[in-house]
Amino acid sequence: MLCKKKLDTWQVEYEPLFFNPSGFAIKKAPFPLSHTLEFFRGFFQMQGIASQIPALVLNPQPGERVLDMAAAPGSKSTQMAALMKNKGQLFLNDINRGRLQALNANIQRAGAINQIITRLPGERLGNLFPAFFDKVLLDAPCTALGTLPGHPEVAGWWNRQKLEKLSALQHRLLISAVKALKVGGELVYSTCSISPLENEAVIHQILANYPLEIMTIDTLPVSSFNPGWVGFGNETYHPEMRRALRTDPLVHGLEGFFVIKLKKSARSFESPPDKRMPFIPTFPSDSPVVKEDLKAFSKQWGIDQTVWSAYRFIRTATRLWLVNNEVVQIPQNEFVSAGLLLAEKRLSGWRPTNQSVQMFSGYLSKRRLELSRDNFMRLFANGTIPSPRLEKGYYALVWRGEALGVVYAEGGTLRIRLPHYFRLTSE
Amino acid sequence: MPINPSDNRELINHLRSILGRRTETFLSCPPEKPAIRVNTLKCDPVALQKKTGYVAG
Repeated sequence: MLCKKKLDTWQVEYEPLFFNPSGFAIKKAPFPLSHTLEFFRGFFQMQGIASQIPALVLNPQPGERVLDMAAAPGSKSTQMAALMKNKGQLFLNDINRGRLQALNANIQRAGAINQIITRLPGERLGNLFPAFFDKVLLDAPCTALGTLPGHPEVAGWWNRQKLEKLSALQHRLLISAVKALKVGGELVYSTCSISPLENEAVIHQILANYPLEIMTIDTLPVSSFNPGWVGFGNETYHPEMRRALRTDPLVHGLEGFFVIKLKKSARSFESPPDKRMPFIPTFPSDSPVVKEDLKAFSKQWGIDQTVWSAYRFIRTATRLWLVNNEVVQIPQNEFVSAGLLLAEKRLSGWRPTNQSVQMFSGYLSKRRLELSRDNFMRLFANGTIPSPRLEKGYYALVWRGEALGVVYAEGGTLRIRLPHYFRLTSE
Repeated sequence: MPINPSDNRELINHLRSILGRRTETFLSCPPEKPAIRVNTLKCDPVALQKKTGYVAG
C-alpha cells in the first residue's frame, strides 16, 4: 500500500519535497506513473511541486468548513480533503463545466467523502454564503506567467489586455472570498503568475477597503522561499507584503507561484441572511428516503448494513451518494455532486462505482470475481476479455484480495469501464 | 508550430519590468520536475513518515 515502496520497486528516481512529507519530485520514471494500478486506486495524485504549497499554507483541519473557490481540476482540492482527514465540509466550486468533470474524477479517485461540488460564478459566492466559511482558498485564474519555462504556449495568448482583465477578475473574486469568510477566518490567495499586477497589487488594493490582516506563514519553512514584494515600478505596497511567499523558477527550480495568507478581522459587507443559498438535507442510513435502497444494495453485494450508519446519503433519481456525517445539508442551486458516488440504479439493481467497491472492498462478500494475472492485464489493456462461463451481471473485480473496480459480464464477454486517459502499463 | 516567447514583445517588455536582466535566463530555465503527492486518505501517513524520515508540517 505504501507508495514509496512501490516507487522503489518501479525503479523510479525521486526525491522527497523538503516542505511536504507526502510530496515527491520525480527525477526519472521508466513509464508514466499515471498508468499504474496505484494511480487508478487513488494512492497518489500527479501534482506540481509549487502547486502543493497553497493548501499547506491554508492548512485546513478536520471539522472545519472550507471553500476552494476555483477548484478544478482538483489537485489542491484532493490535498485539502486529505489534510482534513475527510472530516468537516469542503465546498469545491468552479464555473467551467469541462474542468468540473476533471475535478469530479480526481476527487472520486482520491476517496473524498467530505466534499460538495457546485458550479457557480465565484463572484456570487460571497453573497450566497455570507460569513459562512472557516477557511477559503482562492487559487485564482491567472496568466500562468510563472509556468512559462515549461509551458511556452502561454506566450501565444498572453497580452496586456488579458493581464488587466484577469487582474480585475482576481479582485472581484477576492471580494467574494472575504465576504464568504467568517470573522477570524483565514484566506489563502495564490496564483501561478510572477507578475505583481496579479499578486501584490491585487492584495494591496483589497487591504485598502476590506478588514484583512496579512498573516505570517507558519506551516512550512517560509525562509526557503522568496518574500512578497513591497513595491513595483512607481507603486509601493503594504509593508507586510513581505510575509507573502514567492517561488522563483530561477532560484528554486519551481514554477513561479505567489501565496499569501490573510485573516478577516471584522465584518465586511455581507448580504443579509435571507439572501443565502437554499439548502437541501442529506439523510442518515435509517431514513425512509434511503433505507430500502441501502438494504437492496447491501443484499445484492453481500454487505453488512451496519456499515452505513457512519455516513449520510443523498438520493437522486438514479444515483446514491455517500457523505461523511458532518455534511448534513447541501446547496440546492447549481449543485453538481457530493461525496462518493456509491451506486447507480440499473435494471438489474444497484451498480457500484469503481471507487465505491475500492472503499468498501473489505465488506463485499458477494459477486467478487478474481482473474488470472494474464486475464487481468488483458482486461485493463483492452477493456474486454472473453468470459463464457459467467452469468450476466455486475461483479467486483478483485486483485490480490482487494476489490479494484466493477466489471460487467454479458454474452460471453467481460467489460470494465475505465477513464479514457488510463492505460495500465505496470501493476 | 512551437511558440517562441521572444516573439511576443508585449510579454517580453512585461517580463523585463519584473525580472530585469534575468529575463533571458528565465525564458531558458528548465521546467519544474514532475511530482506526485501521496494521498494520505488511502496511504498510511505514519508509515510514510517512518520510511521517508520527513516530519509533517
